[in-house]
Parts: sequence; structure tokens; C-alpha cells
Amino acid sequence: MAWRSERVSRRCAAFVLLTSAAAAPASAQSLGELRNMSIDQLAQIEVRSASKREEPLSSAPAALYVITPDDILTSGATTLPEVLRLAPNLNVQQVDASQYAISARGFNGVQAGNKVLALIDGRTIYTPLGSSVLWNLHFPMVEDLQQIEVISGPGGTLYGPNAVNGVINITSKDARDTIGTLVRGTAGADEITAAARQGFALGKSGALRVYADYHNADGLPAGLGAVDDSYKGWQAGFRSDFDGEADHFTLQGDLFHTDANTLPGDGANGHNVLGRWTRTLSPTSSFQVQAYYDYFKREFTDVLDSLQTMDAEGQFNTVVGRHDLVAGVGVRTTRDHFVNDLNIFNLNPESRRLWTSNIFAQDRFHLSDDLALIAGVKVERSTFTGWQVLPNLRLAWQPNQRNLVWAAVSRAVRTPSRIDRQLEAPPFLVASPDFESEKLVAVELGYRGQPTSTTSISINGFVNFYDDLRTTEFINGSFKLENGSQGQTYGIEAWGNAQFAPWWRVALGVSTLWKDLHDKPGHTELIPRNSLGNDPAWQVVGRSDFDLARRLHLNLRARAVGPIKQAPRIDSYVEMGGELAWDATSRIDLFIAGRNLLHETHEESNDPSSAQLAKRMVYAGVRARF
Amino acid sequence: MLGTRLERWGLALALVLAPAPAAAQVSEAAVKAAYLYKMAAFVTWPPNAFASGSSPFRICVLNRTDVAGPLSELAHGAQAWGRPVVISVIGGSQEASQCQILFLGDGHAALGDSAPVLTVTEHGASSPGVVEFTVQQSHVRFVIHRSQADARRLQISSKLLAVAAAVVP
Repeated sequence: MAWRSERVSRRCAAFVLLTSAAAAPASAQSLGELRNMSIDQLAQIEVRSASKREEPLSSAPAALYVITPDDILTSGATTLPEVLRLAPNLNVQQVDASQYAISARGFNGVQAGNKVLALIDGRTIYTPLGSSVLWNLHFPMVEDLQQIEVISGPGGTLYGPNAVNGVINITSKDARDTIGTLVRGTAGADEITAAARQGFALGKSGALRVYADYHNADGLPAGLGAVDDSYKGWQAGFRSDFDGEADHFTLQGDLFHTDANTLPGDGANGHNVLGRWTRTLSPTSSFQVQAYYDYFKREFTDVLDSLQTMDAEGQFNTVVGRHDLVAGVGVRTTRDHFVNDLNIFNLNPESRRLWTSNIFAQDRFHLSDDLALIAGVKVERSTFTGWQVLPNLRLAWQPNQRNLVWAAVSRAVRTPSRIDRQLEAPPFLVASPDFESEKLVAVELGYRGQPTSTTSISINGFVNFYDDLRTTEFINGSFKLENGSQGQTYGIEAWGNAQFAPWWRVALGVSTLWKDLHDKPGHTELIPRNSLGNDPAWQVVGRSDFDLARRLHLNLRARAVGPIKQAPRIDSYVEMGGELAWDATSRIDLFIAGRNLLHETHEESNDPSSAQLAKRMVYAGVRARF
Repeated sequence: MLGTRLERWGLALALVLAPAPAAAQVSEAAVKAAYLYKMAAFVTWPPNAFASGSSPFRICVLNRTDVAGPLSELAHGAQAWGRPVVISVIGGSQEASQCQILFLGDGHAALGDSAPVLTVTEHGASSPGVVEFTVQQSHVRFVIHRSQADARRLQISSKLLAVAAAVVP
């Protein structure tokens, strides 16, 4: 570098002497403080550097949609599932006041939704009971989320089990980025929320935040299922982050309690704690180990379900020549307890310990400056299966920073859940000890680009080849779960955004799905709703954000969802929501938000036993930072 | 019942919060974002840098969401030179010439040498911009390349030159 001359160094030294005399704060604790600092004060701030250089999102060869903190704050949403409506590649069906069915590329539904992996800060939140996600057990404070990556399609090598049709990877902010106080409250006729977070520095290179989030919602109007689904609950927790010389430590945990009113005493509670250690070995290599413990228990309508999970995993990244290598290993064990006093369906045995383990390796080989081949393989084993091989091969062509074309072939499996193997209600339903993994080979092609500096688009197409999908069949006088279905699904997902004017930004996303699933010879599916999904063939998600005045913002969200033809049929619908926000001061935002504004009620889920009607909701809120 | 729980929580919170907080370090990316936001005031652009009188003041970030995130928050509702500040995340394009400030990280953009854009690069970028960040003993500093600024007809204020860790003629 030319400027590294002696003259320059002397100038540097003189400058340091000069400025050290001026009384400048040596630290900043929040962006607000950074904003108020003068430019020479910025030079005095001691910073921490990123421990690991992350891959720019623009070069990830997958159907990836990212929800940013700004997207979350401008959506007016206060719960995770409502935030997830922002992703055009997810189908979100509200089932009742707190429960949602969420899937990518089909197979959605309360019973059928079992092919998506969801994680919060590296902790898997799908349950091995039915491989589904119980969204009503998770109320992180949405203001402290760093980002949500939504991948439609198999998660490839790097994500854990169950990443068949998609991955929802939710990460919260580093504690050092949430120093200060944040308080939020919302109130409407049907729902009240209150949340507070306090973050503070610990020592020179660490920080801790604690938070609590309270929700209290009325039940929704009766739909196909007519139960009282009102609930109230709270979640509280902490996250701490520390840096050592070449190390980064994270310790975090949550505690929650929910009271439901379906029957007296219904509700759920649980807790978790997670530790993660990342060490940077050199500028191009690092390793990370992580372990967590998670427990929840829920009681609903005379059913008791509890789950204890312990998980440990490690990952090593390095660069050798033109190869970016990642290798890792993971092991998880769960112990559940499921007792059903409502009806005759039970698990046999009631309680069971399950194990899942995997090892994986991936090579991103830079064939040339603009072409990369990503080859990965994961070998996975669970209590119910032997070793299963899950390879994936991706090709990424990035002729310039503005354009990326990628193609991928991946194999993914959904390992049998407890319900698949061990649910029985003799003589009505017999257990299925031979139930095998559902298998998928996915072929994908995608383009992501930025035609101009104010627009970006992403288009993905996929063909999924499924085999051994679950069927409910009638064999020798009893119902039994079998691997009796196969077939293909096809679809196109496309989204883009554009800044039409400094004060006007729009985004539009479309996803389509065609399903061609059929019984295998000798098999007959009797309840397709439970396995093959309850999916609209299309949906359109749009948003339009206006800066009406310097401190006044109108953020509109709309969605149009095609009919669910699987009986009981749900008609197509168009709905809108959004918020009108006024930044009253630099510390206080006031907003009026609403969802499902176009209709008093509409049907969204076709689950015969639990679906309620989604409802128009309007609420006012305040968010303050100190 | 909730009341007692909240009380208990409050007590726990008070106990945890009792020790006086020391200083935590902010991220390198946040400080770089703050620099990008602050620099606007210390540079004068030629009139042809803006497409029209109503064009916004555009700060662009190439492929660096870690910097673009805090920058959007910092610049929320801000104005520079009487224009609303707009943050754009771009991927190396011809339209880079519509930016007033362009943070390239260590990437490249198709941008003429004389385009009136304040280019900002990381230390070690193969072709440094007008401003080049450098991290010295955990402090983010920057170097100004004067010849580049001249070629782009940008007037750098003496205040910014004084704050720079070095000025390369």
C-alpha cells in the first residue's frame, strides 16, 4: 500500500496524540449513540471484528428468502407465524388463535405438515411426535430477531434432519447489538401484548440481555372445529455473547408458560438453554461446537405430551486452495411422554427415547472465478432407520455480482416420527413398525439478480420426486399407516422488489404448486388430508411501503391465496394488513396495525378438528427505546 | 397470578442488573455504517452527481448485509444536502453511478474512474476507493486517496482530511 510511508505513520502518530487529548467517549453501546457521535469520536470506538466471514447471501445457491429486522418491525406483527407471512415461499395457515400450519412447496396442514425444519438460534423446534412444528410454543421477542432465512427446497448438507421441503432458520441478535432498553405494548379488542428487553454490557467484550414477552388473545370465531382457543402466556429469557482472543461464546435460554382454556388446566410450559463456542483458527478456518437442552410439556383436551431434547453438534470450516470445506457431526436424543385420555389413539410405548445422529461434509469448489460446484453429503441415522445417505450437488454461476444462476439436485428424507411408527388404537388403527422414511429427490433451477440498483428479483423452479409418502390404508380390518404413495410436485416461486421513488418501495412474490401424487400398486390412500397436504395451488404476497412524511410511514401487506381443494374445501381469499407508524421521537414509535382487514372472518385452515376462522384484528401499539 | 410472577421477574431483573455496566464493544460493521452515514456532510458533490433536484441522496452497499443493516437503521428518516437519504443494497452494476456514496467492501462495481461517487473500500481491496477503511488496534479508521477524489470531482472537507488516519496524495 502506497500510504504506508514513514511520513504517513508520523502523521498518524501525531493525529492519535492530538485526539487522545480530546475527551471522547471510548465506547458506544447502541446505534442511537453512534448516530449522535461526531465523526472523530467514531475513530475512538473500540470495535470487535466479525469472528467469521459469512457467505454473502447473493451467492447462496438455493431458493432463499431473507426476512430482515426492518421487515419485521414494519410488518406490525408481534408473533413469529405472522412475521413468516412475509416470506412468499411459505404458505401460512392460521389454525386457531395461537396455532398455525406453515409449509413450503406443499404438504401443509395440522397433520400433514411434517417436512419443514425450523430452528431458533440453532435449536431445532420440530417435534419428533409427528415431525411438525408447534408454533404456539415459541414467542421470542420479534424486535430482537436478527434475521429469518427461509429456504424452500431441501436444506442441503448443512442443516439438520427434516429439512425436506424447506428450512426456517430464525436467528436472534448478538447481545452486544441489543444494549439498552426496549419496551413494546400493543392493545386491541382481541389481543394484548407487552414486552420488554434490557441489554447491558458485561466487561469489555461481552453483553447480556434479558427479555419478557406477554401475550393475551381472545379465541377466534368457531370454524370447522369449535373449541375455546383463547390463550394467554409469557416467554422470558436471556442471551449473552462474549469474545475472547479468537473465541466467541454464546449462552442463551428461554422459559415459557401458556394457559389455554379448551379445558380447565390446559396449557404448556417449557424451558431451554443453549451454549455455543466458535473459535477462529486462522482467517480461513474455524470450528464451532454447540449443545442445548430443551424441555416442554403441553396439556390439551385430556392429552399430555412432553418432550425432552438434548443435542450436541460440531462443525469445522476451512479453505484449501480453491476448496471451501465444511465438515461436521451431530447427535440428538429425545425422550417423550404421550398420554391420550381423550380418545383411543395412543402411542405404544407411551414414553420412548429416540436417537438421531449425522456426519456431513461439503466442498464448495471454485472451478473458475465465476463458477462454483458445491458437493455435499450427509449420512444420517435414527432409532427408526439405519444409515441413510443424503447427497446434494449444486452448481452456481455468478458471471458478475448482479447475476447468479444456480442448479441443484438433492436427496432428502423425513425419518419416521413416533406417530408414523407407534400410534395405535386397536382394533381401529394398528401400529406400523415397518414404516420407512419418506424420500425426496429434488431438482431445482434458480436465478437471482439485480437488474437495476433499485430492483432485485429471484425466480426458482423445482420438480420434487417423492417416494414412500405416508398413506392411511385399511388392511385386514384395521387402519394402518403405510408408505403407499409416490409422485411428483412442480412449482415456480418468484419474488422481487423495487424502489419506485425515495418514498415508495414495493415487493411482490408468487408461488405455484402442482401436485401429481398417486397410490403405489397395491396401496389405497383413504385420508389424503392427513398426509398429502392441504395446499393452495398458488399464492401471491405483496407489500407496499410509503414514507408519507419524514416521520410517518404506511406499510401495507396483502396476500391472495388460492383455494384448498382437498376436502373440506377452503375457498380462495384476498387479505390485507399493515401498519401506520409515526416515529414520534427518535426513541418512541407509535403505530396502528391490523391484519385480515378486508373481511370480518375468513377460512384459512381446513383441519376438521381444530380450525377456527381467521379474523379482522386492529390494534394500537407503542415501541420505545432508551 | 400474573402480578406475582411479574413481581418475581422484576426482582430477578433488578438483581441481575445491579452491577454497573462496563463498556461493550460495538461491531466493526456498525461503526463502518456510522462512518458511511456521517461522511456525507464532509464531502461536496458536483451538481451532475444527482439526476434531478428531487433525486434522493443515495448510499449504496454492495453485498454487505452486515453493514447495510445498521446503516438503514442509522439513516432512518435522515437527510443529507437537503435530500432524503436512501440506502440501497446493490450488486456491482452500471447503476452504481446513481449512488453518491458506494461501499464496495472488497468487491468491484462497473463504475467509471470519473463518476462522481464517493467509493469506499475495505483495507486490502485490489483497487482502493476514495476512502479506504482500515482497522488499527481495534479502532476503525480510514485513509483518503486524494487523486481518486480529484478524478471524481469530489471536494473533501478539511475536517474529514484531519480525521483520516492518512491522506494519500
